[in-house]
This record gives sequence, structure tokens and C-alpha cells, in this order.
Amino acid sequence: MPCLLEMTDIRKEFPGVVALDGVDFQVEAGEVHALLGENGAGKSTLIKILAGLYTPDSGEIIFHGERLTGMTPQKVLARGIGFIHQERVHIPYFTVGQMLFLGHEPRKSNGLIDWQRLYEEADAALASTLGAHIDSRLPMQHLSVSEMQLVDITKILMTEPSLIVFDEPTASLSEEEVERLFAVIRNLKERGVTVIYVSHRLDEIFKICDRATVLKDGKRVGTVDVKKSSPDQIVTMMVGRKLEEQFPKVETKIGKPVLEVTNLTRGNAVRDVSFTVREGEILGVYGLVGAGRTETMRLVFGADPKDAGTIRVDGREVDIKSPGDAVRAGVALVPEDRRGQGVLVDMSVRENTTLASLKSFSSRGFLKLGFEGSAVAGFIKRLAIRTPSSSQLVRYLSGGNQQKVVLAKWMASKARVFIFDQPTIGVDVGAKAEIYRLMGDLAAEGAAVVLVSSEIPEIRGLSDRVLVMYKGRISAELSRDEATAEKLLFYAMGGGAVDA
Amino acid sequence: MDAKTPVADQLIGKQQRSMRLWMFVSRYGTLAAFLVMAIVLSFVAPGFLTMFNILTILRQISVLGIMGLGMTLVMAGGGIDLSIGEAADVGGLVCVALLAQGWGAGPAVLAGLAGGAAMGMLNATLIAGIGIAPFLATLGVHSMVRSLEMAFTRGGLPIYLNRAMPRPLIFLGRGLVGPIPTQVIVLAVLALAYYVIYHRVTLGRYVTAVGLNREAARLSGVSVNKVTATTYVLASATAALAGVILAARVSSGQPLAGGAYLLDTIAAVFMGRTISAEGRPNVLGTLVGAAFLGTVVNGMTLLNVVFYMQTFIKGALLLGVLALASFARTKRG
Amino acid sequence: MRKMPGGTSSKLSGAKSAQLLTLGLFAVMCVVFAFLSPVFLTSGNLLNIARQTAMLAIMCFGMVVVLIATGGEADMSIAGVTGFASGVVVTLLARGASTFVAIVAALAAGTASGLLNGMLVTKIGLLPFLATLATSNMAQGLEQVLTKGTAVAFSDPFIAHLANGDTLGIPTSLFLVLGVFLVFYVVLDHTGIGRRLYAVGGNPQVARMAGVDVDMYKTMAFVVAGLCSGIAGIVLMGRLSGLTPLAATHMHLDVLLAGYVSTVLSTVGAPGIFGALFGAVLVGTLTNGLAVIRVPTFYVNLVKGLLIIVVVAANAIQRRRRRSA
Repeated sequence: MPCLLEMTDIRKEFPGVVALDGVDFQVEAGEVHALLGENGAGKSTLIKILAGLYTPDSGEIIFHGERLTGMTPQKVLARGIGFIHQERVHIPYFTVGQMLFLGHEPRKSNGLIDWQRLYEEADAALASTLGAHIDSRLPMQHLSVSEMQLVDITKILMTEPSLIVFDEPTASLSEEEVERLFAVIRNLKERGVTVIYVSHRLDEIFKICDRATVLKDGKRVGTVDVKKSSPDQIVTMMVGRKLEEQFPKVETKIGKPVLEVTNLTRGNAVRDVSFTVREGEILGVYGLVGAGRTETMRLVFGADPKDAGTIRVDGREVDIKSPGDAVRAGVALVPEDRRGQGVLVDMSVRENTTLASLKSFSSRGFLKLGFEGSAVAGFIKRLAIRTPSSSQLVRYLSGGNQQKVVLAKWMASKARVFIFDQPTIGVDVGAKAEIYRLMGDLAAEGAAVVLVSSEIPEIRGLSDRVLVMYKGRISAELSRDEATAEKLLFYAMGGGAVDA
Repeated sequence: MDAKTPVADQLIGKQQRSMRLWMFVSRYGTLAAFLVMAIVLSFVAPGFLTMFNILTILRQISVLGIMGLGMTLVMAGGGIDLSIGEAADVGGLVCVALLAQGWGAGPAVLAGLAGGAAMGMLNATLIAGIGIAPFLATLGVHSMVRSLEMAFTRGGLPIYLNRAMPRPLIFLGRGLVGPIPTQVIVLAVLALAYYVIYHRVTLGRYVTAVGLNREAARLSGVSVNKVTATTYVLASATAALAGVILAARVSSGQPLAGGAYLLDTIAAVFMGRTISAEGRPNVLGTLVGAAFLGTVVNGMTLLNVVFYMQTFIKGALLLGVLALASFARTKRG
Repeated sequence: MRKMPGGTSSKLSGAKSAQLLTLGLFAVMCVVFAFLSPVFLTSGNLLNIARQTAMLAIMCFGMVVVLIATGGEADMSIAGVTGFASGVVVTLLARGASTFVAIVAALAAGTASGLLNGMLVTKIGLLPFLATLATSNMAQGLEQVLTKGTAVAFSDPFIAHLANGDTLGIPTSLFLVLGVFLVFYVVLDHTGIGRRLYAVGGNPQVARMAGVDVDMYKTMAFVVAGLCSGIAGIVLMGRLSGLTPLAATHMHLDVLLAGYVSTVLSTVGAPGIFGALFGAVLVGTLTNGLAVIRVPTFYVNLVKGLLIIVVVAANAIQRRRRRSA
């Protein structure tokens, strides 16, 4: 097959870092080509160079036999390369039609926008290209995440591209919606559109990709034919480590109940949820996006007001109305949005570590700075937080180390219950393993751990017991041995005959 | 991971180095500008560098400085108080009006402070309770209190006492401790108190956290609404004390007098931000900012700059300071 | 999450109830004024309202463009710049400049102030409300430098006609407002420029990816607001037959209030030009009504300050509900 895109010897240096060190990347016409690598491996830099957002220091890009230089995002788009970005890019109060035609609205002869034609063409584009049944007059804010993505794809397809780059497109999609997206991608392939697929999720690569290129530390490790390779082989290429080693399950002694939640309810999002977590236990909570997992945990933590339900910690009923109440009761939440909600990026490691337990580092409101300093130093050592000093702003730490600061904060507050909501999103494989190990340590020390995750391997690898949620309810409770991928998915998709 | 650490460290080092360079320029730039201005003034303005004038400057900046302390805390908490001048008015007017009713100095001053605190609670309710953007909430309160002041003073007439100002208030407004005006001592004591609150007390840490990221602070168990409310109440009460000092200085209650300090207060806090390493509002910086502004005004008066030119020059200065402070932050981010 | 008919309609009805509340408030206000004062509903007074509102409406159009392009941030300098532009006109006329030159200079002064705002926000990264507050302060200083801080009296027949005169029995200023309104309506709702302004305020990143020069459009919004202030300044000078110091600053609250009314009125969360017109009419009517029922001037600001808080609170609650829905 002929090469559609050839990026040769691409080099890009940022102050102090070589992000790409002579990377070659070839994509053949008509294939779905995966681009893989840990965080910081250089994938996003490569994609940004292709998108015209960065200028490479050296190297050349040949697309359709034409050498691309001095590119801007608009010029790249005009050459026929479209991008589906990770962030859902929309304007809440724009209608679907306005969104699709932003920047090139059809005009009447007097130069004003022809609204009627705009909506007709928008409907046609939505219907013909994807069979996506979305009314083009609906405001974007009324669409679901996957519908918005379909709008994004339609918008790209309107430019009739020959290559589309999907940058981690399934990050916030449910399994159902992922399947729908794959159908769209397969359809694109049939129509002769070439696809570059950037993802962290191995299973997806094996479902839809033809070839995969792996980057590591700014260099190309290799390109493989997906059908002739295995997940282990690809992971080894990415990190030099085998898959099983990722989940070091520590056997712990499971003791008495620590957290008991009964009949927790909030609107339709969380309905009558009851569960118990014991000392030394890791409870996995699996479900599709929108199943109510995060919502349930936010209720337990007091981040949102609950309609009904009781919460007991160590056998005592606690009235949790705010996160402050939860912290006092010994409940800790490691939120999914680490940089926005987990840490304060513009505060130091020290200030972050003691924020939830400042009372124990003060007497009558006055801070005991010396005591605080030595305690924080202890946590830095114990969790192996990589930071030049405790006064370093958390902004400058890597994702994994930021997550460790969140953990240090809750360990300092002497929490009994640790709720992790998708703790390894945006964390590279190496740091992931460290976080898994720390979760195991917490359980071993007698804490109760709740792990909310969308990744089946993570859930299966770490949990002693798994709850599956579907439409705001618990649809199944499975033991570690029962929790096969098939069963988890079956119950997560409503297979347990729970009413809607 | 281990293989990548040196690279990451290099990145951090580089960022910090360029950041440090920039911080150096902006931190010492403000101080240098202050120094240069003072030197130039001492040459061109007769009487600038006399003990008498320096004490005058200190007296002039004490009200601004005291109001700036409260504003520092509010702005560190991510808010702004556009009604801070009116809180000073309320303090002065309530105090003088009650003195005119025959109240003693102590109760009258306390009532003035309580009036200011009540205004702060109104702001706090609107901002922390209802969730209105601080600048809009305090703008609404600013205009409401102004019109109430007008109504209360029959269209803006000052409130005079029909008897002598009580001694303690004369001491507060015009007295000296040794060679130093009492109000400067008050400023110094309050500054120390605010420094302690900000750097050595849990509240200060919480305020900073709330100002940097409200939601993350909340999810760390900080009672964000209580913390926000406290900053507004403290700021208004502190401003009310400034209003009492102002009233004691001129022996009367002057309606609509505090509003003139609003932009200067904001400017002082922003100037102070450029001096801090993290670019956050801080007590010491605000004092330097107030001194800077006070010296500018004093210099212009000594040089006989007409009042409308003074307005203009101060306006330009405020713009410059805001630009510098934000620019420093953009650079860092 | 899902597109549910029920969810959609409840979201809309939330916004609708705020709209109905505002419209209801307006109706009640009118009834009360009419009841308390026989003068209020006379044609003479209604024309008076129209004249008084003209200037506010033009200022408010500028405000709304800034609200659109910044995603809800106010331009606090509109009143201050209006006064500055007024100072420019009156000073030039008093020194013997031609009407044309004075008008052009006032518009240029407004535009330059808007450009300053735009630069401070886009190039330096100041928060819009702080940048515009500082510019306002500066503009007031400049106005005082021009007029030496005193009242200046001057009457120019053309400007006086524009501000106070009638054409075909209708206040000339109404034609001016209508003209400006039409231009804004067409540009905002029926051209690509309008779409891009909304896009920039709605999600700057998306706009950037669609090839929109975000900083340019934001700056343009502030420049348009400055231009509107320039026009308003000319009308102000005509209405006063000169200029008293800081005569425009009392409009500060009115503009903000009218601007935020327009935001509450919108169903989708972005203000529009119709809302701006309605906001100006509401505030103009309120000002006039309070005057004809003889409420002392200092209570007027009390009412307006309170209204700002109510309107913005309604907005905050509405937004919170939209987010949780």
C-alpha cells in the first residue's frame, strides 16, 4: 500500500527536554493506525506537530506526496487532515447546526447568513455521513457526550478529509458508546478514510487497528502489525514490563466493617445504594459512564447533598453534610479530576499535604510549622514523592507524583476509608504501578479502600470484591473470582434485569 | 519513569530559573521604582525629606494601609470588595452619630466597628451564601450603602459634634506616641495581626487555598463558605476602624469619604502582589504599595500638581501597576 | 446525560421562568408608576422616557457585545468613557472646532479607550472587570484634565437636535437608537462576525480551532463598546448643553443593570441585542418612574443597587440550576 503520510526524522526540543528525537512515522492509505506510548513518550507532541500547532525543529512531513511546511491548523485542515480532540469541543449555547458551520456559514446573495439552508445542510450532513439522528436545531448543551463527539466527527467529515486523527476518543464514553464509535471508524475505513488512533487502552487497539506504532522517550520503538502481535508484546514495547506485573495483588486480612452505606439516594442518579467495605479490603466499583459511581462516592463524601440514606463509619452513624464532615469522620476522596479537584496546583507540596488536617498541625489556630515540616518530610519519604523540596509548587510535579500528594493529604488526615475515583487517568504506566502498590499498602494497614474504575483489568487486578452499577443502582456484587470481564460488562449494561 | 526523571527535573529547573529571573525583575522593580521616585522627589520637591513630611506621609497612608490589610485577605481568598470605602464611611458615621447622641467613646467606636462588620456580613451572605460574583455583589452593596448614607445625612451633609471630641478619639486621630502619630502605631499593630493571621494561623492557609482553587479546597474538607465569609467580615470591620480614625482626624462624620480610597486600596494590594514570590496578595507588599501611593500623592501635592492632574496621574499609575502584576502572573503561568 | 424530552423542557422552563419574572417585574413596575402618578403614562412623559433611554440603550448595546465576547464579563468603563468622550466634544467645540471634527474626535476617544481595554485584557491578561475599572478611572481623570474639573456650557445646534430635538414628531435620538440597534442586530444575528463573537465568548478554544482570532475579536468587542460610549458621550453633551464634571458616572449602575437584565432574559445563557434593548428600556423606565413619583434621588441608587443584586442573584441561581440539571 502507498504511504499517505510520512513523517521523517522529526525532532522537537522544548527548553530542557527533547520531546521528539528523530521520530519516523508512516501511515498507509486506508489503514487504522494506532499511536501508542506512555505519557511523555511524545505522542501528543507528534500529533500537535501534524496539526500545525507546533513547528518541528527539523524533519519533514510528506502528505499525499506534498511536503508540508509552515503549517497552521487551518492550512492542515485545508490539506485534508482532520482532528477529533480529546476535550469535548463545543459551545454550550450554539445549536448543532451553528456548531457545524462555525466559520463557514452559508450566505445569501446579500452576504447575510442563510439560516434555513444552514440547518438543511446540517441535517443532511448528520444523516448522510453517519446516520447520527441528531436534530441540528438542538443546542449543544442538550446533547450527550457521545452525541457531541458525533457532531465533532460530522464537522470534520464536512471538510472531506483523507486522514482523521482521533486523540483518545473514548476517554469519557461508555462501552456502548465506544462500540458505536468503532462502527463509525470502521465505516470511515470502508469509505477510504485513513485513521490515526491515539489511545491508552490496549483492548481498543486490538479491536479496530491494523498497525500500531509505539513511542518511548521521544523515540520510535517500532511499528507492528496488530493481528500478528499480542497485548504483552505491545506493553513490553511501551514500558519494558509484562502485563501481570502491573497489578501486584497483596493478600490482606479482611476484618470488621469500616464503611457501611445504606439506602443512599439522590434523584435518579443514585437510587437506594447500600454497600459495606471492610478493614483491609479493596472494593471495586465498576460501571459504564453515567451509571452513578462517581455520584455515589460524592454523596458518601458529602460533596453533593443526598436525598436519603445513612452512613456508618466503624459502626457509628455519621451525619455527613459536607466534605468537612466526611474528613472528620475519616472518609477520604481521591477525585478523578486531579489537577482541578485533588490538589491545589499553586500551593506547595507541604501546604497540600496538611490542608485536610491543619487542625492537628496547630494549637488554638496557630500553626506549628516545625511539626508540619517534619511530618511532610516523612510523607515525602514514605510515598517516594519526587520533588526537589516540600516548598515546590505541586504544578511542577508529574501526574503520578501529584496523585501521591493527594494520598499524603488523606494519610495525614488519618482517614479510615479511601475512595479512589479513576485514580490512574492520565498517569503513566510506571506511576500507575506505584499507586496500585500504595493502595495495597493502605489496605494492608487496615484501611477500607474503594476503587471506582472503568478499566476492567484494573478492577479485576486489584479488587477483593466488585460492585457493578447500572442506572444509579447496584446491579451485581461479585467476588474476586466471579468478576470476569464478561460478567462485569453483562451487569454494567443492565443484563441483571434491573428495572430502568 | 526513573530514566525520565532527570529530564523532568531539567524541565522544572529551567522553568524555575526563568521564573526566578522574572520574579527578580518584578519584585525589585517595584521597590526600585519606589526608591528612584523618593530620591527624585527629595531633590525636586522642597520639604520632601523632612521628618515632618515623612510623618505626614505616614499619617496619610495609615488609613489606606489599614483598609488595604482587609482587602489583602479578601483578594487572597479570590474575591474583591468594592464596598470597602463605604464600610469605612459606616464606621465613621455610626461612631460620630452615636457620639452626638451622647454615647461614650468606647461604645461608639465598637458600634462603628459592628456597623462595618454587619456590612461585611451582607457581602458575605450575597457572595458565599447566594453565589453572586464578588465584584457585582459588593458593587450593589456599594451603591446601596452610598444612597443610604445620603439619606441618613440629608443629602450628604457631614455630621458634626456639638461638643468636643472625646479625648481617646482625639488621641486616635491626631495624637502622637513619642514622635509617631497614633494611627501609624495602629497600622503597625494591625499589620502585625494580619501578618500572623495570614502566615501563622490556620485561617490564612485556608484563605489561600480557597483563593487558589475553591473546589479543591472544599474537597479537602475546608469550609469554603465560612472562610470566604470571614474575609469579608474582617475586611469590612477593619475598614470601619479606618473610618473611625478618619472621623477622629477631622472631628466629624464625612459621608461618601471612603469611596475615594477604593482604587488606591486595590492598587496597593496589586503592587504588593508583585513583591511576593508566589505572586499572591500579602501583608508586607500591601504596606509597600500603600507607602508608594502615599508618597506619589504627597510628592504631587508638594509640587503643586492641580487636583485633576493628580486624578489622571494616579489613574495611569493604577493601570501600570495592574498591568505589571498580571503580566508577572502570566509570565509565571 | 441523555437527551430526554423531560430534561430539556425543564431546563428551558427554568430559563423561561426567569424571563417571565423579569417581564412581570417590568409590567408591575409600569402599573405601579401609572397608579401613583397621573403623569407617567402621558405621551409627553413616554417620549421623555424614550429620550432619556436613548443614551443608555446605546451604551448598553456596547456592554452586551462585551458580555457576549467575554462570556459574561462586564465592561465597567462604559460610563467613564462616555464622560471622557463628552469632555472631548465639549472642549473641542468650546475652542472653536467644527461639529464634524468634534464628533469624530469623540468617537476616536471612545475607540481608543476601548482599544486600551482590549489590549489590557488580551495582551496583558488582566481580568476584564479590573482592566475596565482602571480604564474608567483613567478616562475620568482625562475628562477632568480636559474640562479642568469644572462645568463647561456649550450648545451645538446639530448635537442638540440629535439629543433633544424631534424629527417627524418623534425624538431624533430614537432614530439614532433604532439605527444602531439595526446594525447590531444584523451583525450579531445574521453575519459570520456575530457568530464568531459568540463563539469567542462561548468557548475560546473552539473558536481558535475554527480559525477565529480570539484576541482580535475580544479586542473588537471592547472597541465597539468604546465606540458606543463615544456616541453616547456626544448625546450626553447635547442633552446637557455642555458638561458637568463626571455627569456620566451616575450612568454606571444603569449600564451594568441593563446589561445583566439582558443576560437573565436569554434562554440559552448568552445575552443578545433584544435583551439589551429591553434592559435599557426597563432601567430607563425605572429611573423615570421613580422620578415622577418623587422618590428622592438618593433612594434611586438604593433601588438600583438592590436590583443589580437581585438580577445577578437570579442569574447565579439559574446558572447553578442549569449546571446541576
